[in-house]
Amino acid sequence: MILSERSRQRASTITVYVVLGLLAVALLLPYLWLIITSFKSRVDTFAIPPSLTFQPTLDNYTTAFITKGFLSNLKNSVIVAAFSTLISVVVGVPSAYAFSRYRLPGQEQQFFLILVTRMTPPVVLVLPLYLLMARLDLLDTHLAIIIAHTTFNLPLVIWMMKGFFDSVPKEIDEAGMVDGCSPMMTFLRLVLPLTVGGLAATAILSAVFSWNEFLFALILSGRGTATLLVAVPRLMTIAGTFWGQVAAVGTVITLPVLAFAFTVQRYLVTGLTFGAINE
Amino acid sequence: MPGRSRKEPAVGQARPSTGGNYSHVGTAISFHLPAWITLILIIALPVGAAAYFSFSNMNLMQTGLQYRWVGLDNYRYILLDPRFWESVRITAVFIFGAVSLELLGGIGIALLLDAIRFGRRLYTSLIMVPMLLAPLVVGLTWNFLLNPQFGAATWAIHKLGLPLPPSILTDLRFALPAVILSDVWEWTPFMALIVLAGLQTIPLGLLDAARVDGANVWQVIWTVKLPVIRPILIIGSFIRGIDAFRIFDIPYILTGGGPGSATEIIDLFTYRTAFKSWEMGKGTAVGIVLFILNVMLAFVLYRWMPKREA
Repeated sequence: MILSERSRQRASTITVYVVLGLLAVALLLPYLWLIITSFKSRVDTFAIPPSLTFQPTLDNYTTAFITKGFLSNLKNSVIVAAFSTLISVVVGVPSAYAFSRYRLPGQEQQFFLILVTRMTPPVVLVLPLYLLMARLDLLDTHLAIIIAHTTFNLPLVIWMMKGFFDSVPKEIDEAGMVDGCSPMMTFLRLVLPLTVGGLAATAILSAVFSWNEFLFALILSGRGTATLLVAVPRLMTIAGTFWGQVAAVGTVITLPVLAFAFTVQRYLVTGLTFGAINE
Repeated sequence: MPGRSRKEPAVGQARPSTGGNYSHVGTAISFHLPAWITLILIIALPVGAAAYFSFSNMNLMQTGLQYRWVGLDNYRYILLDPRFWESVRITAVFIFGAVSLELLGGIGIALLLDAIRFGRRLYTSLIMVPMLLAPLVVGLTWNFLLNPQFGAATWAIHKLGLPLPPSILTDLRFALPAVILSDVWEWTPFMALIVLAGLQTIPLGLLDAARVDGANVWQVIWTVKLPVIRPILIIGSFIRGIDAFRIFDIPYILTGGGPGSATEIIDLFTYRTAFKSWEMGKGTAVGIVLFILNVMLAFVLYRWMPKREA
């Protein structure tokens, strides 16, 4: 009987793997199809039934990025993601440290307010930001989009980094104080270096959020500052959509994110749940 | 299950105590100051300005930046506007549909992953892909797949003989389900990761005890696993719900809110009011209503979250 029990177990294990395999296909195939399409010629893109054997070409990439100037949109995306991350980290990390180490009256409420800002629908903030930038003559500048993206990245940095600082023993700070370090020195020289992994994860996540953001960039950018995502609809004209080029731009938008995100995947769930769930 | 690694409890765990000291108020403030100033300038100030403009008749198309004080007119107009309530209804259907499907799918995948020994880490890495894609690209991908003439998904649906119209995205009944499907595709893995993190915290002893008592696989799931991870299921759904509330990109690129206003979720309604009709007064009024709703949701979430040493 033991043998049949074991073979039954083996059968159920195989079933589990098969079901998981099918699910993985369902979750990956649509995206793989986008990547495959980016290497197809126009004829192959519109073939019915969908063609799997085709002569791969880089035409979509060269047309979109060189002829149609998406290279400058790529540059805009990089600038915005880099600076909004930089500002959020420089401004947010000391605050996260203070949330972890000091206790101020009303700290609980402040922390709650920061959660509120992280959760606010962008459409709520984009209206007043648009009016503000129009008044300051900052529409169609990188700065406008960088500021807009800082509205969600700064709260993210504070929430995530507080968690990382909490995991550094307080004895480290005390040792620093005993040695006569100022609070700033203790923070910069002793505690911060112990959270470098967390800091990198936080920075990468915040760059990803900026890179993937569409609405703020759509409203606040103009011809010269459109990010990659904002520029994509340019390929969807009344006369028809250049799907091959859309796929090429889509691939360029997503591949760097995947590459970066996998380096910090164990912090991903923490970052996406405001630190509520540690994986 | 031998050789299986167990982790520390994820939710409700006691964080290391980092009690502070009132004598350091000045130092603390100097650490906080840059963040406070930034948040006031880029969030509090704009939200305050929005609240102010929501009482005005600002219309960039007609009167430019000139405006007149109109009291509560915008709020009255919106609350009496059937299109506003229709978009509230659509948003509710979207959130409820998407989050419940993601929860069910997430639980299913997590239970399967919890049952295997090899390849779990690789698998979780692989299924993370959809949630890392820019939502706009997710919308583009499904737009392409569901194209009535040459979409691969349309072709597959036709081949399988499913009773669906050829043009799903412009069909009154199926456009919203298509938007929900795209969101479910993107975020089910997220739910699976959260649920899996919860399942891994269940003490092995508890599962063994249930099995010794003669419970079969389904009974263990139903009477032990799911009840134990209930807090995680609630927090996960809540976070997804709040995030779904912010959705804009997918319906924007997939259906443009159409056909008619069949997929005009609340953010798209606000966007159209403000940036298509240029009625900033009315647009900011909807924005403020959303903001108040958001503060209330954040409050509920904050109460549910594991206690932090804030």
